[in-house]
Amino acid sequence: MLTRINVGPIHPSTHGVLRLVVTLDGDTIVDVEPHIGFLHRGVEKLAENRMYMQSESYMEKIDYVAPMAYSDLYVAAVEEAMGIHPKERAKYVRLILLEFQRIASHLLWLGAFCNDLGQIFTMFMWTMKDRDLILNLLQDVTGSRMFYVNMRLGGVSIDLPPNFEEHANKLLDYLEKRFKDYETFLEKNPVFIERTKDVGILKREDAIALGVTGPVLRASGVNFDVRRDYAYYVYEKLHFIPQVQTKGDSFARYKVRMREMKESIKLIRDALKLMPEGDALGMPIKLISPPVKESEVIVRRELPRGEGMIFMVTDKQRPYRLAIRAPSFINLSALRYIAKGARYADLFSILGSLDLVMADVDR
Amino acid sequence: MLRPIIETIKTLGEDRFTTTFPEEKERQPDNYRGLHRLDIETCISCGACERICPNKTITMVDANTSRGKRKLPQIDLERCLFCGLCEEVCPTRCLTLTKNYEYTEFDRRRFTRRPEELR
Amino acid sequence: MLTDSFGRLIVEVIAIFILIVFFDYTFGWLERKSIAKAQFRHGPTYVGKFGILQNLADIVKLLAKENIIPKNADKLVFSTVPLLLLALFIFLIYLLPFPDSLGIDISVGLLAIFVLLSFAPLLIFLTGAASGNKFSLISAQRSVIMSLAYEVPLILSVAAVALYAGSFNIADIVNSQAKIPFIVLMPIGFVVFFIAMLAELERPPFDLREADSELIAGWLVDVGAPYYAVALFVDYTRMFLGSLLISLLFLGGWLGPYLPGLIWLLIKAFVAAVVIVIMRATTVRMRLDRLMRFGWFWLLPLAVLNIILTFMLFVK
Repeated sequence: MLTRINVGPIHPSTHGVLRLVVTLDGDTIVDVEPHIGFLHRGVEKLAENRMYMQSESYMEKIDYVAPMAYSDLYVAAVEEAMGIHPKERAKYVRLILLEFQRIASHLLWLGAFCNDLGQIFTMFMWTMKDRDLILNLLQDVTGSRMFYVNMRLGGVSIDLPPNFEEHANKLLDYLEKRFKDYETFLEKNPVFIERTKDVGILKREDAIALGVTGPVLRASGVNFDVRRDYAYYVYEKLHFIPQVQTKGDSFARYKVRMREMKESIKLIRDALKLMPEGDALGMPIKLISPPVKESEVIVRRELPRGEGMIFMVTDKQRPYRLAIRAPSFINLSALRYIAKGARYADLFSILGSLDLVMADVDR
Repeated sequence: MLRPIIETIKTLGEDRFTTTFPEEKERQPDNYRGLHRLDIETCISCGACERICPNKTITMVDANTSRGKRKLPQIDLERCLFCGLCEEVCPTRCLTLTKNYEYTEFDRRRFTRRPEELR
Repeated sequence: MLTDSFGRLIVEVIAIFILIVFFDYTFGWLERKSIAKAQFRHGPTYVGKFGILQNLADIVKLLAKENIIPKNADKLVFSTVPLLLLALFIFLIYLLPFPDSLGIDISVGLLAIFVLLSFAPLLIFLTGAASGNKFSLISAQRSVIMSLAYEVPLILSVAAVALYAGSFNIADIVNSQAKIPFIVLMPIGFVVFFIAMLAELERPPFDLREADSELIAGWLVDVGAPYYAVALFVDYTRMFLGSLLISLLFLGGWLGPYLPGLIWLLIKAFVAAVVIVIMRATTVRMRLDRLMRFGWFWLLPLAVLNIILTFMLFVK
């Protein structure tokens, strides 16, 4: 006998407003149907009526867990349309800040994932503390803990303060220690292992066919990362290695993200060493945008959730059409295939391991 | 199973990280983007802040100054994103964002701050 | 023990009731503050010094709210069963022997307690099923299924204790720990009992009944506010029962130098409760089928092994 359960828009575990209509046969899932759109704010349309640099604030609010990544994606698209290349030091500064943002985003994911599995916020509080330390560092640089609005054409709005390097290195040492603690806490916990191993397996061919990207794709054995294959900023110089696991279950997705955090620490350390002196400031905001050279641009970046893309058709002062490929939207569509045949309790393990942010799904 | 329990017990010895809010306040850097502050004497009424604001937060309204009746920016705090574009575009640097972030009111109409109130 | 004067009986009843309320209240406060400390945060601080009055404020707030019974619910069952559950657990605490001759002392105390304890999942199932709500029904079913897996190892590990002490009277069991407490004599039995007790108390990692990230609040989704207060009280009373059982059966009860017996009993109950709270802060929730598997394939053989070892080593 099939029962239909409504895992409603308001639920402690759906990472935002997501409605899942789950059809169950006893305890086994037969079908999952996501209903989205509760958080749609029409960002793409809003950008059509504003000048290029005015929409940067809206782009940040698409993914509120890692705002700088989207802001960087958008500003990179505008720079490509105008033919502006970021300054050399600015590339390093952007890379450092983006990798810090990636660590912060994965930390929040880790906390929320453990929450979904049943922990009462213990892991969440610990990772929030670490994320708080990163946000304090970013606040010293940009002035704000979330919604930094610090990307400008050709660089950043404020350069790194003079004692940034030592603060960053201290924070990175602390984070490395904490990551070891987290791994002990979770991987030596037999209950965690049995909640995540062999749960929600996504095979390699299915992952490619469904179009998922980011850690979900890399956990299924596909060695693809925008930072290496379509390298931007200075990732080639820093010898970046994508982290890949082959099993494709929730544990593999967890492992990929943990390793990515460690890889980000390595990248930041190397970037701090190699960063040249100079000027990283971009163009300040003016009432008239610089002239646009291209009429259509496509830019891709590796956001913490997956691969983000912007396709922009330009007009003189404002984008004519802005199309955003949001990684969470595609990853959510894979939920239906992964969850077939799993148990009801596994649904939350899978949903948590996909790392969705509803604002990213709905834009 | 024992290692995770030891981790939990270890944290019982560490300090708390949360601040008890109204008694202790968080630290803020100097470039924090808080509430606006308008220097009425320096404002030249160019309207650049009104034009750059993405959210149509700022409107230029009539106000009395020591130099006569001029148009000065009025800010609707319910719409403000605190993005800082208005501060960046102001030619005379009369509109700045301070470190003040506390604004609670009982009456919703008080959120539309007239130019004289932006201190 | 059954007293000879009615006045004394009334005094005993009230004394134990006050003890229950005291434990529930302080345990609630202790749990919130220690979990908060393990999570780098403060916990309740405003209401009373160190937040000691927070639970009182919560209970007053809950009792003062309107009780809403959903339309699809079975009114009679829904309104009476939570109160029955509370009565059951309070009665069970009265069956335990307290030192200084408080409490009832029955010769088959151990059996009586565990028989009555197995009523609890049924009553919870009734409440959940009477809510007329799919989530409560699922969580109620889970509760009953879980008890299938854990009742047997629980009783078997207690049987080893009774075997050694030679009696079902809990006072005798405590007195036979005068030289060595049972936790040292039968460590396997203690571990099995502790885990099975966690499942019986439905505390993490076995809190499937109220899995709040999956089922929102499980069987409590639709109960009205005053009944929620009753459910919290039931939870904490159950904890008191569990920690008392652990301390009486394995830690030596009221035996100990210098301090009066009652104080030792409470200290040991608090120690057991603290360990349970640390388990709560650390683990994630188990999945139902793995839990059943764990109960049948690991706990049951270990409990049987424990009985065999106890018999061979000590009873011969």
